[in-house]
Amino acid sequence: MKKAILALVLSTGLTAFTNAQTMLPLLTAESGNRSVEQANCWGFGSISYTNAAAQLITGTTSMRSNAPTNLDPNACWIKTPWIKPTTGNITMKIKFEATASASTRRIILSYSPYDAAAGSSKEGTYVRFDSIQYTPLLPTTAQSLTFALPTAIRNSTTPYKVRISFVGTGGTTRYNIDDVMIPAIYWSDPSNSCLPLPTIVDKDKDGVADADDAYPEDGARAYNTDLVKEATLMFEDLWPNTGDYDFNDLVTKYNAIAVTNADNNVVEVLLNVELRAIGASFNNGFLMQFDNLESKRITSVKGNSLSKTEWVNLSDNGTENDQKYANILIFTEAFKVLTSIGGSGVNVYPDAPYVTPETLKIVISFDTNKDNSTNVKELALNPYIIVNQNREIEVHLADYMPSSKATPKLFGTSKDDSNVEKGRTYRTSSNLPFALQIEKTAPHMVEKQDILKGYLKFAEWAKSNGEVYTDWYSNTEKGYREEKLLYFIKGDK
Amino acid sequence: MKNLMIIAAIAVIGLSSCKKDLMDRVTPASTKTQEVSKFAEIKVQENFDWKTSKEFTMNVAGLETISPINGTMKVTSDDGKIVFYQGLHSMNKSFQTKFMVPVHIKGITVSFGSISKNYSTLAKQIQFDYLTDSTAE
Repeated sequence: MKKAILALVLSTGLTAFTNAQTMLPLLTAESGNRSVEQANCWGFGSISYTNAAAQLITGTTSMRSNAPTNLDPNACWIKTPWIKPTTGNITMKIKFEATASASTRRIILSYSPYDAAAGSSKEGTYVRFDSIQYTPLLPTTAQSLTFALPTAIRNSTTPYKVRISFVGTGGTTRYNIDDVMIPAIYWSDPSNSCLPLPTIVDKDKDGVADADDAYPEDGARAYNTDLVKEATLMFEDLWPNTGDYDFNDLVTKYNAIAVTNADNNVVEVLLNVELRAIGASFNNGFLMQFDNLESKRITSVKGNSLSKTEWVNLSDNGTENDQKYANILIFTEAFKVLTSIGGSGVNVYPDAPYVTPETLKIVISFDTNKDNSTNVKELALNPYIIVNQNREIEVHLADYMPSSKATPKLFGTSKDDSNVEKGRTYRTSSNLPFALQIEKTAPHMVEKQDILKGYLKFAEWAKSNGEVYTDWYSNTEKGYREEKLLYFIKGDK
Repeated sequence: MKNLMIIAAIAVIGLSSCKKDLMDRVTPASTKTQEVSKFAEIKVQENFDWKTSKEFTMNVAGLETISPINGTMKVTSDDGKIVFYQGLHSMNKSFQTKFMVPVHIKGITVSFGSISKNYSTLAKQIQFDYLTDSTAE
């Protein structure tokens, strides 16, 4: 991204910048929306925008004062953003809406220095430097006015505001105003309460302020975004047959962070995968597909658990070969990550020995070159298992796409009612899934216990199309869980 | 008398049926409490996605600024614990992004410097602009 910044190297060796400096443009009101100018830090006191033909001076929109009632310059005004005045004259066009119905009309010009101690506005005491007065008959055709910038603020190195007040006594005649020009450098920051442009410290010079930069000394990285803050995945592994619906044949918890740079391209995806339980005799593998993302976007994969099984076939960049989309092997054999101490399964029988879950920290690096870079919105995670070392049998979440290696022969067989071409996958004829992802750390079922026995509001949530009991998995109040049928990993409860 | 009793019985049956139909209409099927004890018995709608998160699309409307202002656009849960999106953006550029939000999150905060706006998660779309409430001074 082209950064419009002015870099300044401080004597400390740190790098700092302000956003770009631009001359203050003419205030024409042609946006037609006063909020646009306010967002750019102009101030308006009892000044509105008008497109009534009789009130226009130039263009399709002009400004209009209220009916002045006194000579107080705080009553009705236009204020500039913070500026650094240069040299020259302040100019504007004005007219009145009637020749009479007024005793006095006066335009007063003042400036305010920046005052760090002056409350949220930081405006110091206003200093009046010029004015012009009108008495009837007031001019109803456009008048071009010129005021010299006062010497005290010309070519300033510190910021000021200029206030132009439209005041008067007697009658109801209003001002129309347009094309206000003040020779000055714009020095306001609309993203920082319109205060003067700050000096931003940026040690790694990537354009992201250190205050926002998760990696302030690494120019290649800037932000961490939670693709998945925390989630528990629960699989049944008998697909295309259904099982006992304890959803504990493989249980993992994971989070995924996208690390992006100052160009908003993905540098890495950090996957932390904790294998928590195995409620099966099958030795399953666990993978992650990045849907719709070609493998060539990835430059390396580190931290996964790979065994030398026959089906493992990786490219130089660590992704699986012969896949349409990028597939990452997280672990190839569950029982090599989490070893059963005795008996069947791991962490599914309350009376069996507890096995501390293993966490794999996977780092998936992405190409950041312009022609092959990845935006974070392109990252669509599709976690799945392969069943009992058979690479052709995959189990995904409902309606998630199988990888290129899944055999098409099994779809629509036995209890599966997939129609892959229509995007319907891994559902039974009654629309039941073979895997669940819960966006929280959640206990899984004790072996052979139907998930409805442990999560008592699950059925209501599902039957309501997800409308009621949306907290079925996180609410621990009475009536939501049967805790004796749930298996808690140590530290979760 | 016998005919009268038959007519009365038919009327009672008819009224009962009407009452049931009426109850069906005012009580959405989704909120009925039909006890299901096994997962295999659950009846769900064909389009139910079984997800505990939903995808959001955020459209950011750029603001023509007097000078280019670059800063960090940040989208978080209301408590700030989950960062759904972060990126360096120029205020004068519009852009769109997408992210997933767990269903237990009820509010989202979008911030750019001192500009901060809150959104409910009831909708799946966020329209963000840099304009704030008019400061009627």
